[in-house]
Amino acid sequence: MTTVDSKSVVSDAAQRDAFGPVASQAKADGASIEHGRSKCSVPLSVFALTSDGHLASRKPVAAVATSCAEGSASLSLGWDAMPAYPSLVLGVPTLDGRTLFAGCVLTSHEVRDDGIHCEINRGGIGEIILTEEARIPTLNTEFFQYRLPCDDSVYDSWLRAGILKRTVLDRVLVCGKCRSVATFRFACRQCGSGRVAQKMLAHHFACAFVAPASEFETAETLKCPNCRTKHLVAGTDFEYMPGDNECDVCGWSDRELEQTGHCLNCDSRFAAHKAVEQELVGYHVERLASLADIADLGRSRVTAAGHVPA
Amino acid sequence: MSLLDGPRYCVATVITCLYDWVCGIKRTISSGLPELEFSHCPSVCAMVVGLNEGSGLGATIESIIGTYPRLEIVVVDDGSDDDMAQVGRAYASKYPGIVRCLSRPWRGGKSSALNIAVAHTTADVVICVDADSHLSQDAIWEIVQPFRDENVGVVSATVSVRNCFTNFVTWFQGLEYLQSIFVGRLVAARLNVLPIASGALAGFRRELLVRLGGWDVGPGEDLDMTVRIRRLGYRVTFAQYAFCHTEAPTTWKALLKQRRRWEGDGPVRHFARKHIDMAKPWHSDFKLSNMLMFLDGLTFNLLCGYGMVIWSVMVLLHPDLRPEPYAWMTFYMISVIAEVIALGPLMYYSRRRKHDAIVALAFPLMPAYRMLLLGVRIFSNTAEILWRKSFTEPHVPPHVRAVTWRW
Repeated sequence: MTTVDSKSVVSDAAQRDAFGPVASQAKADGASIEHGRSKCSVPLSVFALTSDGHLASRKPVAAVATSCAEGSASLSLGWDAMPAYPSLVLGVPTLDGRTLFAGCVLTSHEVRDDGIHCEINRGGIGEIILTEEARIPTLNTEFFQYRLPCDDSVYDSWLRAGILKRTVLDRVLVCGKCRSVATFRFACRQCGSGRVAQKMLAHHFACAFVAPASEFETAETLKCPNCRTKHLVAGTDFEYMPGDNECDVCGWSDRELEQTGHCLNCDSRFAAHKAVEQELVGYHVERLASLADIADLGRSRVTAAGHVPA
Repeated sequence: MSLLDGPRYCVATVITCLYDWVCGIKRTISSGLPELEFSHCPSVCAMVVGLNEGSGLGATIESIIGTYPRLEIVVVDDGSDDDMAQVGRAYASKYPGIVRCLSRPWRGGKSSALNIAVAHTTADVVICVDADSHLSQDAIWEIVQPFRDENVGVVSATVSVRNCFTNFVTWFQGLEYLQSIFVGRLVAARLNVLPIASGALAGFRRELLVRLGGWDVGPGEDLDMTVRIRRLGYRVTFAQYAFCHTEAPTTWKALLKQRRRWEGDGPVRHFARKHIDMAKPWHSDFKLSNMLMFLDGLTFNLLCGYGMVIWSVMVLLHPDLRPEPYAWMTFYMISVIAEVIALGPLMYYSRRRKHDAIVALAFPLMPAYRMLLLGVRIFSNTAEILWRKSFTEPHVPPHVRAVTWRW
């Protein structure tokens, strides 16, 4: 069903070299509309996907889009380029050297004299993996770990094929044992518990005596236990000062608390400096907004080459 | 003054030195084996207390760390404006479990800062270290050994001048410290009349500090605490080879200011006023050694100075009493000879003889230097007697000065 528009002819030698016999059909890059579909002749690359999302081959096969609409398109492939799996990823090159990707499903194919003609719809596992939700790690609330929905090998295969680009989104401190997210707070240096209370000290100015504030408190008044001066007034006769922190769990006592991590998954406690810094890695892709854009890309190629479409 | 104080010092040091020499020979002949040097190892807390000492604190902590096994260091920042607390915290993070840093948001005075440190330790022995001083390698070992004797409550240490070759001011101080502390305190400790363990480096039995309620408001809190422990019936000894190297003032003005502060609160404020009871035979904690210490302090620090003043006034008023010029020269020469004699014990006890011999070369000018300091002492004592000047010292923050007792 390849339609050649006689008014616009592409004689791009480089394109022919790249796409072989199929590219020779991609002569008419202008588009006309028939049955709600834009007719075009745009060279693109096609990756076949296995059922678990892996790329069947790192090397794409060349194809030409012959017509396209919002959610479907027709492709023309070479004789030996029939995809082994129905799930596909289309790569549409743009004039500025980028490639836009879209996930599709092969709905039908027909073998003709000039090659294989395929009908595709947008969707399938390829389209799922291209969505933002599948490319950016999210916090798993069962294990409190940042995870991506697919295996790492899937992303690796897409990465090697140049579809995805690796991006460090953030860095998080995680438990060294299980790599789960932890909460951090100042806690007891000995047991890591956050149940610590700071004791107050009192300093009597006149005799320089320093002791826990509770020792100054009597039933009637505040009294220095050292020099026995009564009726002490805070600020004038004595001052309160922060004292040691005391742990309610293990009884440990010290001035300085330690920033401690508590793993939300395995409950282990560890000093903050022993936490593991984990990179949150996501993947970036340039997506094709709609399959109908393929025709627009074809028109812009013609315009750039100096031809004015009808 | 020279006729009394000089011979007293010379005779005492020479006799002590000869006694030690004879004992040393006897020990060598009888046993031949040297005594085990460090056999007592109580837990120790080194308290480094200071105000705006951020620049020197790191070196002080470094000089203490690793020199003793059962050691903790408590740094107390007394409301500094500089980075002392940050430096202290950095060391607390670097040596967790060994160094602790306590920082108070506003100044409360050295005594209360020391008391805060005492409240945060359970060590057997507490050692005070000035934040700008460096300890010798074995200083803590040397200080704790006398605590084997349960009657020892305080151990004084040797304070030496680190920068003694900076100029003449520090050179004189270098020799003065060697004579009055390194040798002089040895003699005083042997006679059991040592009244002070310098705040720069001193060891205290912690239970006694707790029993006494800690240090009282200064200045002169080191002298005061030593006397209070003596009055409890404990002995004060001297660890001669526990060295604390400190920076001495480098200008005459700074030196005179420092001495004016030091001299004022000793004999008048603490001996003649606060601790006058120790000289009363009928008092419950009277001890003969304490009374001798009291008389020694009062006589040579106070009375001799005023005797000099009275004599000078008499000479001015009665020209007949004025000595001939050769008599002045004779007095000076006698003083120089006393200095030379005192160098003998100094060299005998010295472990850095070459260094100390060079410091000792300042001896011909020492009598003049001592006369200058005597003038400062008389001035300070008079100001204390008449106006209680030590209670207006900025050493103690104003809100504390305002409510403390004026002895």
